[in-house]
Amino acid sequence: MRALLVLLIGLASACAHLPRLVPLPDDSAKTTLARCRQAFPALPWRATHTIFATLPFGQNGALVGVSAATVEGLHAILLSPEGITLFDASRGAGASDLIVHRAVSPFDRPAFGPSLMSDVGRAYLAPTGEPSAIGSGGPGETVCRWSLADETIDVVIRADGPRVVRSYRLTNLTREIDLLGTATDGFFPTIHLRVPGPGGYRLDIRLVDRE
Amino acid sequence: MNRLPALTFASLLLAVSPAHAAAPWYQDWSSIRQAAAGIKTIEALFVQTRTLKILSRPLVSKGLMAYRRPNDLRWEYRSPLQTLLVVRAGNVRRLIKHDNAWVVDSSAKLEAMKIVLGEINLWLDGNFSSSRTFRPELRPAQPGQPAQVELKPVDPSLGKIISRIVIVLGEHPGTVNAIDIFEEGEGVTHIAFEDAHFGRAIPDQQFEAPH
Repeated sequence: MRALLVLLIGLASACAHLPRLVPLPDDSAKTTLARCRQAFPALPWRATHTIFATLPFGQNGALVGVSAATVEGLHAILLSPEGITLFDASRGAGASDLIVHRAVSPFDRPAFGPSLMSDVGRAYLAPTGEPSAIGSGGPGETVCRWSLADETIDVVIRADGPRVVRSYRLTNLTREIDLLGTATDGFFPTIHLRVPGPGGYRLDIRLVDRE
Repeated sequence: MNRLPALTFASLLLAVSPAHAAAPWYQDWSSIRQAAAGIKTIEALFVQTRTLKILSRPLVSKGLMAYRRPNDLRWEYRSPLQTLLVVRAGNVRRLIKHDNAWVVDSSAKLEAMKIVLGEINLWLDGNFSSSRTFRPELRPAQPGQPAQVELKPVDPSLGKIISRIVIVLGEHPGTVNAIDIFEEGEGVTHIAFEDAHFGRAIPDQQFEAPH
């Protein structure tokens, strides 16, 4: 019985794959890539957002997020509604050089900083380099795919523009970002970010101001 | 985090004081307590300004506060976040407006906030000198500088979140010009009150969670 279970899991893993893309002609691919890049604001930028977080076990909370990005790196700050700094961190162009300037409990857990910076980075920073594939995905969707060292990023374009950014680790969906409303200079008025799984969470992010 | 409403509220309690011919109403702790004892209700709008190095424009939050003696309180942020703290007969409720509905705020709160909530009654009585959480200092008015109450945390761990709070008293009895909350480092939150009303009847529902 146990052997059967292992076999089934093995087969499932072997069959799992990223959503299949049908390659586009070169001209269409170039146009699609330009539209994919519209999912993100051009550097440098500064922005303020409100965040409604839905956390595991039914917990939730409200925060203000302030972030700034340049070609040198990303700076993100979380404030309580009363203006108290709960978390303040920055990182250079690489994801491994995170510097936490301030972290107040419960935002001082080691995993929190990298996770937050990944959320902000995936929502507001275009993946580096050129995409590994551009093609048509599901019905009415075209996709730009970046295959990075530790994850794959899909930016999904629909008739009205970029609408979803999905992150995969191997073949598992690790983050899904819905871009809602009409963007201005790459800033969408509302973003819904969802991290699936047992420790998953959802962030409803609304743009307050940008510079 | 929600110590700020309490502090702000306490400062407003200093706001209504009978005119005193011989000495200012903020002459000493005793006269401040006496002034606070005469307060029955307060309603006021507030503007909270948070400056951050990474933003060229400050983050501005607006809201409303209401108080009814002996210990009913409403502290409501109306923009950009919509959050609500209501205290009635010792029961504290925190809510967040999300998708046009009020939901319970179940986020983990700072331990320090619980300590501060326990001291609210002292502040409501203008009884800063009995606080075991903050060390108060009354600073008389100087030329070019109005009278101030400065509160410094007794516990160093709280001091890592809020280094000091300065309540700037008005020249006229019953007025508070501003409250400045200083974080360790450079962060400052400035709260200014406007359109304050004193002694008006405030209905019970103002201090209850909305249905």
